[in-house]
Amino acid sequence: MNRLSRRVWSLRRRPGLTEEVDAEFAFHVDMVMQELVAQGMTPTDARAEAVRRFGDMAVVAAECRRFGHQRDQLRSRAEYFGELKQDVTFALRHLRRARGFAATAMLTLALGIGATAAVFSALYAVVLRPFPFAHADRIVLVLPTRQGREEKVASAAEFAAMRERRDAFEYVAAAVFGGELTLIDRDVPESVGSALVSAEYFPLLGVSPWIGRGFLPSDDVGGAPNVVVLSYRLWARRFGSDRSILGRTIRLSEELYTVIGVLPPAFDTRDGDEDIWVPLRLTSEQLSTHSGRWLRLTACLARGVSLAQATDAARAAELELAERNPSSSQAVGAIVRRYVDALVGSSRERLLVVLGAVGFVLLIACVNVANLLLARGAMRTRELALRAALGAGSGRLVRQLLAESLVLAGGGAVLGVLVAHGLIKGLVAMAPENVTRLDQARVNGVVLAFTFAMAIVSTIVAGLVPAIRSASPALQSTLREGGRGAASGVMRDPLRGLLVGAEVALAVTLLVGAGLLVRTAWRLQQVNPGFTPSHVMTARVGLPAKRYEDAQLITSAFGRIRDAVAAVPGVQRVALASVVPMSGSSLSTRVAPEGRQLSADETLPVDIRYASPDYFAAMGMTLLDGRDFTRSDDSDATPVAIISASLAQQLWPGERPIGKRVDAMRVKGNVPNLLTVVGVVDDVRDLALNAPTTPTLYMPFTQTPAGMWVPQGRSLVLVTRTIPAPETMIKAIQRAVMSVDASLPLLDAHSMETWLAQSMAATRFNMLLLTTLATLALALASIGVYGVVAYFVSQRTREIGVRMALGATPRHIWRLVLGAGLQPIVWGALAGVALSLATARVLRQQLYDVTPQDPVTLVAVVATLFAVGLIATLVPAGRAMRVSPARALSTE
Amino acid sequence: MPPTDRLHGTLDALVLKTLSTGTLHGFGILRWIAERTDDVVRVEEGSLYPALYRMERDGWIAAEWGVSDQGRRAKFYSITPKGKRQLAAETRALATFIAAIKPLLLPA
Repeated sequence: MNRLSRRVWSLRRRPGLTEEVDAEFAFHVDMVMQELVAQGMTPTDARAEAVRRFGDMAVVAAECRRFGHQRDQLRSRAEYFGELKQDVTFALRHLRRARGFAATAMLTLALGIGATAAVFSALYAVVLRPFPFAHADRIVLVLPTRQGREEKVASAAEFAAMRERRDAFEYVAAAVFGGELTLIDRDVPESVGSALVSAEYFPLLGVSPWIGRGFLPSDDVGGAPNVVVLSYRLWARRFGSDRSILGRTIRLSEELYTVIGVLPPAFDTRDGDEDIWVPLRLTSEQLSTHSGRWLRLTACLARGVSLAQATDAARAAELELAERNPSSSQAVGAIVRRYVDALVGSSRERLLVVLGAVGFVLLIACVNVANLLLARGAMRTRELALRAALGAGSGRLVRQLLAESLVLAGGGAVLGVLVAHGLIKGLVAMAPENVTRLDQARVNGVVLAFTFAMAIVSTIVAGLVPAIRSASPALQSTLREGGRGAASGVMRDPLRGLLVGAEVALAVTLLVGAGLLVRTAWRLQQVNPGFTPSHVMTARVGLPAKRYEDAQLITSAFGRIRDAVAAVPGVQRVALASVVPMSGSSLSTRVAPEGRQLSADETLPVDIRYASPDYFAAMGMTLLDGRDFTRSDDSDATPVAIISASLAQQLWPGERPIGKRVDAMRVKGNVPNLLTVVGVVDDVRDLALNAPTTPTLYMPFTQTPAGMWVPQGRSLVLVTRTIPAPETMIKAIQRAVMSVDASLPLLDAHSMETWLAQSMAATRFNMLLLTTLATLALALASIGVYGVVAYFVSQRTREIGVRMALGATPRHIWRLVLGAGLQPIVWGALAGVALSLATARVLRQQLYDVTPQDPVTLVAVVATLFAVGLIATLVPAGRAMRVSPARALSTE
Repeated sequence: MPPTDRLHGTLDALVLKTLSTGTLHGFGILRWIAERTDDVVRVEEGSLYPALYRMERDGWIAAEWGVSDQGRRAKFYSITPKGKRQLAAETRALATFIAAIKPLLLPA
């Protein structure tokens, strides 16, 4: 019985085992019988007595069989591992003799496995890794909706309403992210990201402080002592992980705060990259105010409550609130989303696409190694036939060959870990900034386990078919043929050509994907952002609440700041704005043309910007009609506004909007808030080049409603158009600002070109990644093509010699070889185009103005492929043409 | 110390000791023990054979089919080095056990 059938038998209790036990018992019974008969018993009685001494013989026999079965299992397992060890030792010995081949195969696999492991580690760090929250699946974001459109922030009254819904939410917390406070410790100022959070925030997330404590409800009321919680990384970096920080006071933007706790290092998922948390301290008056949405609501679902039930509860709360505040929209609602889904965002899909792409590259690498193994196997038929003759079954031969693949893949995996380590560093360095938790990507236990799994997969993909192929002819006693004779069977082996065709198909798919992203990036370059980004410096200046309480102080201070910066040499124009394009989101509201009695749902959603005079000129935006703001548009003058072109079209289609009035931002009750339109400006791309423009309403910052300064953080962005490069002007601008108030740092100082680049960072990164992978794939595939053609030539040297002797010109030989090379390329290209048509739609989200089936890209890719493939066939073709017929014919 | 363990342990020790003197089949082991203890200890077939299969699984004894001195096919057992170590350990444990209960149950 050969190995396989023996294994099958042992799965059941072998008949052999039963016979063994029965025979042993039978012998024993006979011996006892013999004894008893010698003592005078009759044979029948003796036998009965002998059997009786066993007790219940069937039970005893069963027990013996059970132990015997275990014994057999242990034995065959030991045998298996012994053989495996032998196979691996053989494999190592063999590979040591073929170092060049082994090195090539291992490096190819190292590249494929390493790249795949690197992408997987990113996927793990961002998406798969558990979050540092207790009950992460119950933490949700509560988002109000207006006419189906989700809002990221809610009003304080909505917060209070959600808190009442104990049936749905165990905790509800409100928070404001994206703040900055100036930390002054030992006279060194540093701006630190901050967040205002209500007392429920840390218990909701289930984050226990590393040292100290979190916030209590008593900290969250006005008048209580100022307290602050630090992040671990700030504590380590700025305070040297000194435990005595607890209870110490630090100065944050003019106020003294007592440090009461530090969060653990694992709490690394931060919304606004904040390092300090301060109590939110909503007053009861604020809690009853429903206008102005500025709070981020996070909640923890009560036990047993589903997302749908929570959504219903939230919606009911919204409707109740709408009834009590009749001026607000009727089509209110709410939606509850899982927090972790929001954190991960689209990263899951993007990373999975990249994982798929890099998986293709690994596949191509494996196929290349498979081809190498096939070529090697064809040369080893004598050696394998010998082994077969010495008793190795076909299964054993295959196992031995697979052991070689295992050693290659194992070596490749070890090298691959080093490759992955380097690739991860590069990935993290080049990735766009807003991918949560990507900086935690590293080669850890999970990634190592994945690498190990990839090694096994590569062994099978690369090694199985060549092992089976090489083992079978060996068993057909090819010993009698000459060593080379076997080659004639393998020469016409279509398998190698097929494998290379598959490689080419995969490479084509990746190239098409990369090509689509390249076209997208190119199209985006050509989009007009609506402003002139070059030579514009932006920096945010925030005024501390203590010394700038009321709106009058704030606006006059900003006025002085603007004048100070205008005097700096090199500054062409200076202006202020609440937010600049592509740097963050702005406040929004709804407007209606004057006099039109629109219901709340029919009003138009707009983004609001507060700006100073000269803002449009500084940004290089075109004023289409009317005038810019002037200094006389102050708090005593008529409220004015400048609207974007699309808004003008929506409010008064076909009419000139100058002089008309728009009703905006109802603050209290039904009192209209009328602004006179004095100018129309061009639309700008606000979020990103590939996002549509939003209608925008600009108001002079001197006419900002007093209550709006708090959600603004009492800050405006300084926009400076400079003559020299913007970055060189930062210090000068800083000095000018400090000449007005020495404690004001410049926050988020970036040129507009930087903001623009950042908004495109994700797209550019994806393009870079996919292009790199596609190039790698093309390189590997062309090596595969080269291999096949070179093999073709080497196998057909005699035939080429014969043809040349019979009169074929070098040109004929060239065509013959070219034909052999083109075959896998043509099939691969066809299959690749089909595959890419089927799969390109996964990229749909990332494309701009390009369809997934873009014909230009397809044609370009196929042309590139043929060009590269042609080059790959050149060298072997050249060699074929130089074959000397006499030499070829005389070779034996 | 559960009673089955002690029972197993003692039986194992007996069998291993028996086989340390030579190679025997199952019947031979029974006879040897009965002779050496003057028929005081009579090991039951129903205990012996499962124990033999168990000890073979654990690698303390090895088995081989051979021919008895009467020319019949029988399964012969012999002790392995691992078994010898196990015998020493069992013997020590037994001695400790006996020394512990002797003053309790059989005061001088």
